[in-house]
Amino acid sequence: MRLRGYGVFACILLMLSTMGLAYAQWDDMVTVTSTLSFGVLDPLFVDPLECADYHTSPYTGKIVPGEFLGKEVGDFTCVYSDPVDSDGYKSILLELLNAYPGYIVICNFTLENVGTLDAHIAGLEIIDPTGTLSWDPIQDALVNGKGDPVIEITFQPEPVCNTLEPAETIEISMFVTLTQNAAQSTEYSFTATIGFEAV
Amino acid sequence: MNKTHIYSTLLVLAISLSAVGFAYSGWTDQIVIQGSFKMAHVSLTIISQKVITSQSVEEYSTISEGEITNDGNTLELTATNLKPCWFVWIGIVCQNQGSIPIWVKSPEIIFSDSNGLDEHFEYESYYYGPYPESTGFGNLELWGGVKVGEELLSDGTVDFYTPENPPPFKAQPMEKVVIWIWLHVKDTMPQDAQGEQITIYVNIMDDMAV
Repeated sequence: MRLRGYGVFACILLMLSTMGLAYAQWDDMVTVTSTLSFGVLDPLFVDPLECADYHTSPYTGKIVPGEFLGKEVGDFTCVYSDPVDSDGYKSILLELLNAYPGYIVICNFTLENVGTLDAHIAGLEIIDPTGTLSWDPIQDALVNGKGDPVIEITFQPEPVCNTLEPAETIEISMFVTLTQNAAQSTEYSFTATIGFEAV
Repeated sequence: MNKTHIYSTLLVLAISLSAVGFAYSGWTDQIVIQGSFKMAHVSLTIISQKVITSQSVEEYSTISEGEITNDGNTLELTATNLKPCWFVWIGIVCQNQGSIPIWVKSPEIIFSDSNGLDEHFEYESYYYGPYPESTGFGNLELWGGVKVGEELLSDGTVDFYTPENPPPFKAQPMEKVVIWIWLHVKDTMPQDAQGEQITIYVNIMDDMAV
């Protein structure tokens, strides 16, 4: 019985090698040539970039342009940075000087999908690179060690979950407000990273 | 057979999904917004002071020269042998050494003795300014040659030509303010407190004016 099993096994091997040998005698070659052109995921900041300072009116409670009573106490600069060819920029640099509690700056920027793939805005992460403050998504603010909001940062419209088709743009306003918990003679910083993925 | 079919299907599905997933998540990009903020600072600082009284008070009471604390916010002085009718005039020149306008407010006067002796003091304050940074006070009417009994009277009134500017008022960065404070012991001062030494702290007060 065992011998029979070995015999069958041997026959199978013999047949397979014979087939291989016969097969190998006739050979030919087929060439497949293909050119692959990959799409590009390339979201960038594009012009225009417009920033202005505001304050909350003590009379109406609404955010209105300029500082209270036309004062010029706070100062800011707001520029695009890290250009990519002539298509756009990779970052925005916002600097506030002589800021004080209640000082508001609104930056209106434009995102454009200069790539060839649909760009889906998958995430927005805000951190303090120095570690002094931490982001609280419930208060939409960078908070101090006690959990008190120091810098409120909001976006209109909310960028996450938007998808930009190639050449499509979206205009977004970023509201930055320094609260009463901001300490004098102190330096603060933040980094907001908008993440995209190809769809 | 059915089982084999199912396993094959699952295997193909798993391979397909992982291939799709790899293709989907492999391409990402990001753009960044970087913000930096330098906060303003508020600083109303005492830059000059005078503590003067009448000759009659000096005969029985020792009053130290005022000392300005390191942070420039407080003037500290010590007086001995206080008794009813004792008085002193405290002059302070303050400067807004911050980076934003501030409201000048009434100073806070604190006594080292917490036994309620502050109830037996009364005071009046007079405010002048704000003056530009370049103002020299040597020849200023309300500072340079001021004397008790002439411009600063023992009853707590002043006799300056310069009009007073009651607080709160604004001082822009680097502007200066003059404050004269009359401190007087009322006749309600208890016997057992008279003759004691007391330390008086004058804290200047300010607030952001934006």
